[in-house]
Amino acid sequence: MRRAGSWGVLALLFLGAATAHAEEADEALLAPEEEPVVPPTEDTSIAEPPKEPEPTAPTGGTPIDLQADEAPATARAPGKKAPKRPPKAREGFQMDIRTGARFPAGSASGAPGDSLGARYAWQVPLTVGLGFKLSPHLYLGGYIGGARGSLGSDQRTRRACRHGGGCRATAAELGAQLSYSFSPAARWNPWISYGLGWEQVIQSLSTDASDFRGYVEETTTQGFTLAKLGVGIDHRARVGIGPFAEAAVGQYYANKTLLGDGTLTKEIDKTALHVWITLGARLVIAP
Amino acid sequence: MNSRRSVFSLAAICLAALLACKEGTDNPAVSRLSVKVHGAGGELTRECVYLPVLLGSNLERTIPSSAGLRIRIEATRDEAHITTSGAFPNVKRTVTQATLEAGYAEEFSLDVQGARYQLNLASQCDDD
Repeated sequence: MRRAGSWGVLALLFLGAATAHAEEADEALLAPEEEPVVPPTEDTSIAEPPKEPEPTAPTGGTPIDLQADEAPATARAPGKKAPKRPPKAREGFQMDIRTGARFPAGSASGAPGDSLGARYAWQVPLTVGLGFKLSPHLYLGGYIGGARGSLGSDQRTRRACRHGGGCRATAAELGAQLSYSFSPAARWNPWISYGLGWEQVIQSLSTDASDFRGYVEETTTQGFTLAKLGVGIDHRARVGIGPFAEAAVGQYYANKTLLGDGTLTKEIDKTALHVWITLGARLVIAP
Repeated sequence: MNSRRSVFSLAAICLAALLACKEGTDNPAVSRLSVKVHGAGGELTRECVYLPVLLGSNLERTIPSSAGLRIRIEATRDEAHITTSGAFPNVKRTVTQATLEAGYAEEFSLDVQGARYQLNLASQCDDD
């Protein structure tokens, strides 16, 4: 219950930040002009765009003017509001929070019928990334996250779960991630990412069936995330927000079983590749 | 006439729902293996081992007995391997989860350091 509460608080924080972003975007559209407006002239030829400022030398944590990929400002009639420019490209600290839904694919092990979808249902992940933009385009950082969901499609597990008690899956992940921004100074910044790390999923089952009251079983499966491939696009304002998709290819190497008063850790004989496919939104601090 | 038919229909639906609930509480998909050793002096060992339910779960348990007999059980959700050491002849048996669910009982006579013992394996534990 307490866990569910903390997840709710985090979700509310995410929504709050997203709402703030939306309000900020509205403000930006209503903001007073920051650039001089070229008055209309009798000349019908297209007004020359104002000169772009020269890019400044990159310094740690300071914004860098990289507006070259933006459309040049054009002449506007007086009275019309100019949209606010996106924040300048940055180097230094950056943080992101991701959430959405992730879906299992592939096999948890090489044993017959041991698909990832049979073990785990879809999950709600929450991942926090912390790192540095080494250049306006390149980000390197670490991530830590968790996910919650139910047990998978395996019929025997489902039969046991129908008898009350509790059935759930809880995941954790930790690793490093590198991402590349295609337009770090633009309002819309598409990006791709690659990560690798460690992951585990705990599936737990308890049943309240009359003959088996007090039966508790928990299996912790650990493995490596070999390739966490992501793609997305951020809408950049004071914070960035945007959709992303991710495929995390991994391989589990060990199962730890807790059953009754005994615990057993065993390496997986026949390993196999699995994929967690995530669709969701990410919030970027210092985009 | 119509109201009587409605009452019958309602009763049939309730009965079907009750039967559905009953089916749900009968079989929770958990299988057990009862292990008992007894000799002339009475019962030496009594254990009820639960087979795992979750995919990926494993179980290993060694049941010692004061007579020098050791019973080892290695189980997954699909089957249990039972082996003994310190007896003649030693037992080596694999019992599948399907067999346990259908009902299983087997008795083995063992010679442990010159004394006779009976090893009973069954799918029903004493509290069943």
